[in-house]
Amino acid sequence: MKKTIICTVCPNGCEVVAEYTSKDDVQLSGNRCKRGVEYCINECFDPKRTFTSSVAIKGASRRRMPVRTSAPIPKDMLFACAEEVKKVTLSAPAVCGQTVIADILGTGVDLVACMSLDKKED
Amino acid sequence: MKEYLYDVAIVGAGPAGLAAAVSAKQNGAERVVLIERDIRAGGILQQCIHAGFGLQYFGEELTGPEYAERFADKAAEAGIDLMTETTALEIREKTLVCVNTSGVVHIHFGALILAMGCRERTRANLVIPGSRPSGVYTAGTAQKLINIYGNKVGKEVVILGSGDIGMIMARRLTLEGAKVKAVVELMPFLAGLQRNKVQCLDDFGIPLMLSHTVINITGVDRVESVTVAPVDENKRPLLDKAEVIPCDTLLLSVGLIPENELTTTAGVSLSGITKGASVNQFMQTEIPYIFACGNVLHVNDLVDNVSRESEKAGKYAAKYAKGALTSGESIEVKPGQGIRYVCPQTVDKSADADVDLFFRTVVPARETTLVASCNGEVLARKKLAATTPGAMEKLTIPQDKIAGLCGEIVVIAEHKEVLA
Amino acid sequence: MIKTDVLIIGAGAVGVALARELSKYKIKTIVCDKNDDVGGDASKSNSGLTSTSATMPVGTLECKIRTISHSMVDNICRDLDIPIIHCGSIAPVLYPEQMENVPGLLARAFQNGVYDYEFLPKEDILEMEPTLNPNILGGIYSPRDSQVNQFLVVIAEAENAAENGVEFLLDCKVEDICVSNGRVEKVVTSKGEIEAKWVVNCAGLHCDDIAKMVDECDFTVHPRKGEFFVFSHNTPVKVSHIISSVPSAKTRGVLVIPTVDNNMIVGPTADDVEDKTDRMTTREGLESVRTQALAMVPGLRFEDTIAQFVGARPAREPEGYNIVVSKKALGYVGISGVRSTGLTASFALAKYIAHEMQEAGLVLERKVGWIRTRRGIVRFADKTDAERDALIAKDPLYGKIICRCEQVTESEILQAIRRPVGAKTLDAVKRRVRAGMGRCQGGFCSPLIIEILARELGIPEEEVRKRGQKAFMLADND
Repeated sequence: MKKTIICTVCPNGCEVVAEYTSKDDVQLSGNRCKRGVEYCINECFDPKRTFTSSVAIKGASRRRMPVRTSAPIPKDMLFACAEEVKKVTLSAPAVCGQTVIADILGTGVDLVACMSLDKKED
Repeated sequence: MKEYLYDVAIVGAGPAGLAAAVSAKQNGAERVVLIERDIRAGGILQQCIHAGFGLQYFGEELTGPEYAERFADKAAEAGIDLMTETTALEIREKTLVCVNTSGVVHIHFGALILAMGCRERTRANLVIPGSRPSGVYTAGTAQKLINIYGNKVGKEVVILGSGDIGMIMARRLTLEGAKVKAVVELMPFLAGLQRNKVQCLDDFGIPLMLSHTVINITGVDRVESVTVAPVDENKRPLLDKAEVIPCDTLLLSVGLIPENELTTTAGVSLSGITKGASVNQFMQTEIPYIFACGNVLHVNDLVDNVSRESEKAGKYAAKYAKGALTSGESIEVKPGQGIRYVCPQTVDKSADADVDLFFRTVVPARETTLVASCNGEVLARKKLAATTPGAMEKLTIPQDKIAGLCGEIVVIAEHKEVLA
Repeated sequence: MIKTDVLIIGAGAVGVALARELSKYKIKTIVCDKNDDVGGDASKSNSGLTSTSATMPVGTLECKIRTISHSMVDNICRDLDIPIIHCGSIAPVLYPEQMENVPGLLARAFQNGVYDYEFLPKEDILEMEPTLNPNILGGIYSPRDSQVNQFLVVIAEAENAAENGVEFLLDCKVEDICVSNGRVEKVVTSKGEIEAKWVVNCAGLHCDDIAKMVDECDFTVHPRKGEFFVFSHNTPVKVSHIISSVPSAKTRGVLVIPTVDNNMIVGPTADDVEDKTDRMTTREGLESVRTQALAMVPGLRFEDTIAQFVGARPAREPEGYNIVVSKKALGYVGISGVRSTGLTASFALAKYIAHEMQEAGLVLERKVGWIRTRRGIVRFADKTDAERDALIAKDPLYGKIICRCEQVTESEILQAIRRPVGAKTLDAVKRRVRAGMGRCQGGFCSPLIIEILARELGIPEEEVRKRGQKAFMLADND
């Protein structure tokens, strides 16, 4: 198998070519340094991204609560997550770090709040 | 009129203002106030809900709101006053004139720190011809509408400018169900970070059109299409190769301008290049009691740099307010070959610490040597595998070298290989 | 069915001035317009110039009416609280060929009664206006040319007319005029039928389309496009007089205009086009404005422009003001040929049209208690600290800045929406109180104004529009 990856670990932005048969047999070429090796291997077998979005919140001074996954999730699940968060409405108060969706889509990763929002006084 | 007395007053409770406030307090300013227009502290970070902040400052990857909240919590713990929903209107000598729903507020200060951030360049700044329909947004306004208000801005989108906000919005809109048809960049290279191209464009198959620009917008009511054309080496569009892209939205991510209208009411002059005030290493402007930090001074790439720079502003403003900031002879710092600008623009010889020079290069390149020198003497030097105009670079001049300097400091970049 | 004595089609400068004039009398007047706001097309997209008749064709109705109207401007502005600056104008002579035109221009101005239209030597002109090209050969000075806020002229007249009983039907497009037994009977609109004894066609750019409905159209109207730049307040080089090109036989040329709001306006081009909806700025047009303006004022910094826009003046063929009181369709009055001079001329023109209608049988009986004056929305930005405190004490929302570039408060925006003939779109808010008209062009305040408009109009935010019926700001949720 052969895959071209633009390494994002440093500003160099090397175009790295990975040739591999298995996880234990990866040949990288085009990289100017070693810092991106782990990143490039992950990009071949298990590309992951941190998912961020915002969900509706009621009773706060803001309408939306920013959220994130507490760790990166498989890249191909980003769209599914985007659909999942549309189903949620929080109620104020809420605190930064609190779980919004536990184990989102069975990834083992939680979706958490990124802001503390008090209950709005009327 | 309500009158208040503070040692240090800070305009803007975004990342710059918050870091400056905490630092001012830590450095002995007793009464510190943050003036903020919004309903809460955090500034633009509140709408930057993506991750990628804090790797340098906190050693972990945070979202914008998380990064802001850490500083806002610190400020609250430190006992800093926060006046929200209050707009600063004018600087009159050592009084900041503000307004809120209780009336006009006069803040008398010992030192003032400007931390108002920046605004986005608009369609009119670029003089893009065409009709004037709805659906033309700056990327940051679209980001606010989506992330703060939960609105949708459009369904079929073209983005002009490959700045970080533009690319991040491309991903955000795509995940929200919109179709991003292209990201169009005038320059032959990316304006933002490579990481954002990979994670925001490549991941979603969004085409990047380098050396292209938008030359027309159509639509009587809402945007109906934009015309995109390649440009020649002088950035002139090649009209015969133009292509019409149907869309209902055009987002502009074409640069930021420091928001310095308040600054000029105090009589502080602005640099033609950075569009911000000129400062010394104490982040002090030409008016000794006015300091500036963050994007109001020069547009930064990483918020981590803003926090560090603003901590200096806070520290020295606190010192100034106590009458403990001594100033000596000032020497100029000039951008030389391959450098667009350097901040600070002057170095005060009564330095009490090493002096960091922040600057941007002009072209993307590999194997770059950055040198700061004065009268032929090398003060600092650094070799980098790669540099890009999108990234802020730094050289540090050791404190012990500063007292003996005469003439001006010049920063240059020497490239082994220039890209694009 | 709605019934009225007079239906005015078109809420531009002429239609609204006429409505205000008729509101003095014991008749019912309705103004309808296809747009969502008063101000028409040409009446809002122009440079706000009110000038003397120096360069008008001699002996024409246009010249006569404009001369009278220009003398009325100051009183109207005082009564209706419309900002005006009396800056005068200078036409710098740049080339020897232009110098040849000068005697003819002075002679014509004299014939038109503009006795204070004078040629001054280079030194005097440069002392008055040091921003001008130092190589000029001299200049024509016209001291009574002024600049008004062109949006507020029509808005103020409309508010005053509404207060005096005139009804405004906006978003209301005229589809047909029914004539029976030689009289106009009713007008079919997108908002239903209106029975009217008199129908006055003040539709400007579209007056030929309306005139065709009663078979009174022996002319054509096409748009003459003008492209303009608007400058930021804090551009370093600003003119203190209206700087105009020396008029040639063909065109008045490009002007550099100081404004009541301290934004310079530079333009226009004059391009005849076919499409009445064409409001496209063009690369060539803007470049030609730039070149012509820089020839006169070399220091202009075009990087400080905050907007470009297009105005479409109605160009009639054959030219000239034309007022028809129809014999074929009694009750129909057609106004055509009112071009860029309309803003200045509208005040006297309204009187003139009312007089013609009276001659044709409209009974104008003066009512008691007509309200002459209207006060503008008090602007936070213009006030001192003490005055601001007093405003906020009365209304705390005067302390909530929404548009930071122009320092416009929520109170002002609410007044713009809640007044008679109030704003329903972002552009309408902008024209009334300048929110979104500053250097960031609404980048910061438009999300807030969308929220305010939705709340005030009782509509979802997705239905808030920039202008018109379909220029939605947001995409709907589906």
